[in-house]
Amino acid sequence: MEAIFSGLWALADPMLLLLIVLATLGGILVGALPGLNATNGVALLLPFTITMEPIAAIAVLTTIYCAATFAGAVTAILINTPGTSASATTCLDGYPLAQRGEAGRALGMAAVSSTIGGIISVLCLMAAAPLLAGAAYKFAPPEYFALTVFGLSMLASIGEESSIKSIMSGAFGVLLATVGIDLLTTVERFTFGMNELTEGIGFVPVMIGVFGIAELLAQAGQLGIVRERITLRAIQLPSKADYQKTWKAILRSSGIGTFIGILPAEGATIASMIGYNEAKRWSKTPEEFGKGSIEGIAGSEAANNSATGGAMVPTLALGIPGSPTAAVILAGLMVHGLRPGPTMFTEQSTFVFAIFWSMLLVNVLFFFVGLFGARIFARATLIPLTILWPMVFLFSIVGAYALDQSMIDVWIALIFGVIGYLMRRYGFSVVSLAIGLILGGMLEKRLGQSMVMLDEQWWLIATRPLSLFFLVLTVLALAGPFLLKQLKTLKS
Amino acid sequence: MAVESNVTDSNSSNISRWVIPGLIILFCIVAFYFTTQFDRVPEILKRGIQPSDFPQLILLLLIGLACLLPFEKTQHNRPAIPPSVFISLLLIIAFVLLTHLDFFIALGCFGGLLSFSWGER
Repeated sequence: MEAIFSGLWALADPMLLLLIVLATLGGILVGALPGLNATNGVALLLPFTITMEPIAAIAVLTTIYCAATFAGAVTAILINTPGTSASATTCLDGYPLAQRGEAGRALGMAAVSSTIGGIISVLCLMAAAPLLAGAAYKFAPPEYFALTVFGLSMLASIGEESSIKSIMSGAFGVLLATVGIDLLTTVERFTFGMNELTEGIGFVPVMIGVFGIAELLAQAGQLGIVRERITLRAIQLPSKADYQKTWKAILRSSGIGTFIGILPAEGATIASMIGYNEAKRWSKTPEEFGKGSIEGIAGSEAANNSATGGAMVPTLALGIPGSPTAAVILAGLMVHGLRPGPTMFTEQSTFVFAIFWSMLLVNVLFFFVGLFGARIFARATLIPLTILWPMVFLFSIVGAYALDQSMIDVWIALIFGVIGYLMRRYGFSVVSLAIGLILGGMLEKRLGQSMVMLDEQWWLIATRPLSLFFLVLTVLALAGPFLLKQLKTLKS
Repeated sequence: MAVESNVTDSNSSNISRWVIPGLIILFCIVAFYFTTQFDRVPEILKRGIQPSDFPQLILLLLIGLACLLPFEKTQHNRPAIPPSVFISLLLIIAFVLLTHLDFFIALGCFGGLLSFSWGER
């Protein structure tokens, strides 16, 4: 209880509150701009938060995460292009509503359902924190190792094209994490005599490369696409009839989103798809879905925003990212010298609760900003790609350089931009690469510690109940996509 | 035109199905060779595993998975990379070269030229 109030007190700094308000505006702008999303927005801003205090830095990053996830609905409704992939299902009903002249009503419902979903998930997160803190003492290196393996195995389910490619991307990320001096033995690996590589490949330039520069190259291939923009007259709050029709869908999708968000590596995109499908399944008027159903918007938006709170559970409690954006935030935590994991809730409880409070605050903030500022943010969709992306490039490069005033970080960002573009083109997930890079160091360290602890008898890891539990989950996570595919083939 | 398009598709399919896994395996073999050059530490200091063990394990996993790639039922035909992507890549290379002159001049030139090459007038 004391931690809850000390977290709130830590947030009661006028400068920090101002930063959160600015980050909310920035996050909504990022989410409203086609092509930019929460993940690359957070990745681009990460280097500029390095000099901040840890609470301020992580609060800013999580604020952008929450606000950008909500703002994806603006472009989804107005130009039929989801600002973030999590808003893809919002397009299905939002755009038809906008075409009928009800863009304001659609955006109003998106703001209300996003806010309710976000608040519910943060409250769940705050309630779950003491339970997670209790589990902290049961974790030794073998349990951490098995948990990290489980986190990586979840990558099998996030690839857009194939599970194998997704796991390979993750493994490549883990391999990259071995570059530099091995902390256990102080032996140099893959440094090729370059002093700059002795500390390893930095998370931040890689994130800027795979999420910023690679996206620029992807956008270069989409220059011919013309988007028709619907004029937004005025945003309006949902009517009583709308609330009566959607409250069940909002609550159901909030629960679904929180649960999906908690699963490692799964994010708001999957949550919104399931939330939308469930809203349709339980609706009394499923035939309206896809033609401008207000329930469809509620189901999709409540789910994707509640997943942001859920995704912070494994990120903070287990050190395993709950979504692609959470992976970048996890990198931010590590850059600030924080150690995400079960002990975080006991050793840094004030920090953890300050982050929860900031997430709660941003969910209230973006409701008002969304309602009163949607018309202004909608104008952001008018910024031509030919101006936007060169600016994003400048921002990315300055960010990479600003880290250590070192050109090596700029080269790393550019190289990984090209690698990221090629990976995306051939169906390899850059999100898996980022998660692999973040978890790779921990994985090796915990394997080494487990080997010392278990007297080099690695198989004893599987004899510990908690480790065994995570290893069984790993097998299920790896076999799941293949079994589901087989099941579908058998059914058809 | 249709024949040309088929040729492109077939090339793209081959690249995706065979060349990419081949390149990955080649990369892994080269990286594996480098791991054999890592210093080894005495038994008393190795703390469970030698410095080369973990990277080698990952490389073997990558090779094993790359061998499975050609047999996966996924999309192998992809549309050709648009010229604007190559132009952007060339501009990035020009940016790298220009940074030797001055970092901020290179940034300004790149921004303007990229915008121009994408059609901004």
